[in-house]
Amino acid sequence: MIRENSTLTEAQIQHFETFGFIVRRQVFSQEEIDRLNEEFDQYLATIKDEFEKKVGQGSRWPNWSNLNPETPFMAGLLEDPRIYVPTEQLQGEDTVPLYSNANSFRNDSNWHPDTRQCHLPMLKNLIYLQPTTGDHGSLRVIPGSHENPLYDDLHRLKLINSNDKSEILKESGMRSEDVPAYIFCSQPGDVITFNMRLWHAAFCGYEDRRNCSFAFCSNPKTAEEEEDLKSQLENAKTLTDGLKMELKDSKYYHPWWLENPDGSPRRARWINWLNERGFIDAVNN
Amino acid sequence: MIQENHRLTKEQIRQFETFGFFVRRQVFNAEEMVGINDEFSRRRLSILAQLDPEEKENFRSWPIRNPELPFISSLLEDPRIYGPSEQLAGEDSVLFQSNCNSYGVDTNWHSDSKDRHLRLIKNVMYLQPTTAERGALRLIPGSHKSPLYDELVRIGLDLYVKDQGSYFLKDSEFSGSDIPCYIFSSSPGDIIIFNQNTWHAAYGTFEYRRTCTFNFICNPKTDEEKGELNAMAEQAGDRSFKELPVQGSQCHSEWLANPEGSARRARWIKKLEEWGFVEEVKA
Repeated sequence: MIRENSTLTEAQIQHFETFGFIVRRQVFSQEEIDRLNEEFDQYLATIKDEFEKKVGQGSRWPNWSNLNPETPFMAGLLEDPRIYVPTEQLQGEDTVPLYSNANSFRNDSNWHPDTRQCHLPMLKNLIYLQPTTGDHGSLRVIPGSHENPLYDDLHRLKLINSNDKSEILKESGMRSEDVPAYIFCSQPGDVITFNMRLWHAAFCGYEDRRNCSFAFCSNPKTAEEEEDLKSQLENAKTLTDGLKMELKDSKYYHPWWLENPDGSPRRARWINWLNERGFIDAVNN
Repeated sequence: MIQENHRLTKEQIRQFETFGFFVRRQVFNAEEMVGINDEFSRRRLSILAQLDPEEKENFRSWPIRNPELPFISSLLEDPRIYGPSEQLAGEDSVLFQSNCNSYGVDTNWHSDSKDRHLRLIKNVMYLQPTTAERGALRLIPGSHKSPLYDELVRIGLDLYVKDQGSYFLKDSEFSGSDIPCYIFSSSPGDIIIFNQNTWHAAYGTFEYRRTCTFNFICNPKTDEEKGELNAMAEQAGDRSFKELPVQGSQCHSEWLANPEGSARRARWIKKLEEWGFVEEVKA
């Protein structure tokens, strides 16, 4: 169910809290997906040659920050109520976007959560730009794995390692794709929003498997949440190196986005927060 | 991976403990499955012939420990069933309810046991192929443990209102088949073994969807476990054995006679008698 004002129902919020994610179908129209794919094509074409030269030097797949003037429609999605309204319902009205990426995957993504921090609520919205199925690159999530004991148990099983290193898989005669999970078969326009502690993976990948991701973190309220945010800031310092991002001018938060030419109050609040908390400095310099 | 002695590996056990279930593929071969299906059909028809129309409507399950099911009942003492069960519920665990089941309706979300200390495990063998659209068992990984177990109780996933679904589902746009889970698509010969606290369901059912279930209960050691067993024994006459549409006694007198002198069976019978379950089914 998608409400006109893009808010989640009580049941959808309950679903997110219980299972660690919520799926919304056909949030974006085919026309909008075509537009996203067009921008994606154009940007990918401009970085592809440079990326190919770096394959084998740690670059795993072409990815980049959406917050740039060459992908204006993608950049605008952070301020689209279909993205920020459910996010603010789940994490508070003062939640802030940390990252907004485009990914052109080339292979599988093994099991992992996106964060080890357990106090600061963080979530990610994902839009897949192509149809996915269990044997064609679907995201898989382990329902409820954002909470302990399951979250820690999965670390203990070393699922985060690849097939050949995980003893649990090797000795059980299982492949990573046999790990029990919910398979998010998706059509372009569907959105999944998940707690970033949730364990997830994608198998049966293919060349240029595409998604756009919009990651938000809560504004910390407690001392533990502040500590988690500090860890996030440390991670942010290595973000572009760690992800081997294809940033043509080396700025994750592009000056064009930071200028906020339309004077959006929401973006102004975000920029102010990112600046005060040191993220812009950490990521851009 | 199935070891020659049918024991689970250490890693398989860890997987069971983490997710609340474990799947073993092709434990029984095609020839054995034909034998099981034949016996299943014959026994079903022989019971149906003795029932009145109202009883026929509710008829769904019948006990395995019966001389008319010699091959299926022999599986209780087959190491492919008791071996992994004893590893997971304790070497001194006891065979509990074990039935043939023929369903014609979906099974909504539930956990088999609300007891959180006493370990109960269930082996389920599907006699026909199943898929997501055709009756496959669905399980929510990790739901045998809190907080997920309690959260599912709290939202009322298993509290059903006639024709409206569960409390959670009726107030939402979700159907039972939308609840995120692992779908156990199976072929005859596959076995799933699960902790009976694990939440599960089946949708897309078809007429005469067939399973054989082999349940084991741990030998209680702690006060909490003993308390839960006692409560279960007290309710057994009303709930466990009579309220469910199970036709006949769990333990037939010929099975209780243990003509071949099986030590394992003798141990099970002794415990079931001690706990008051055999008396209940005889009553």
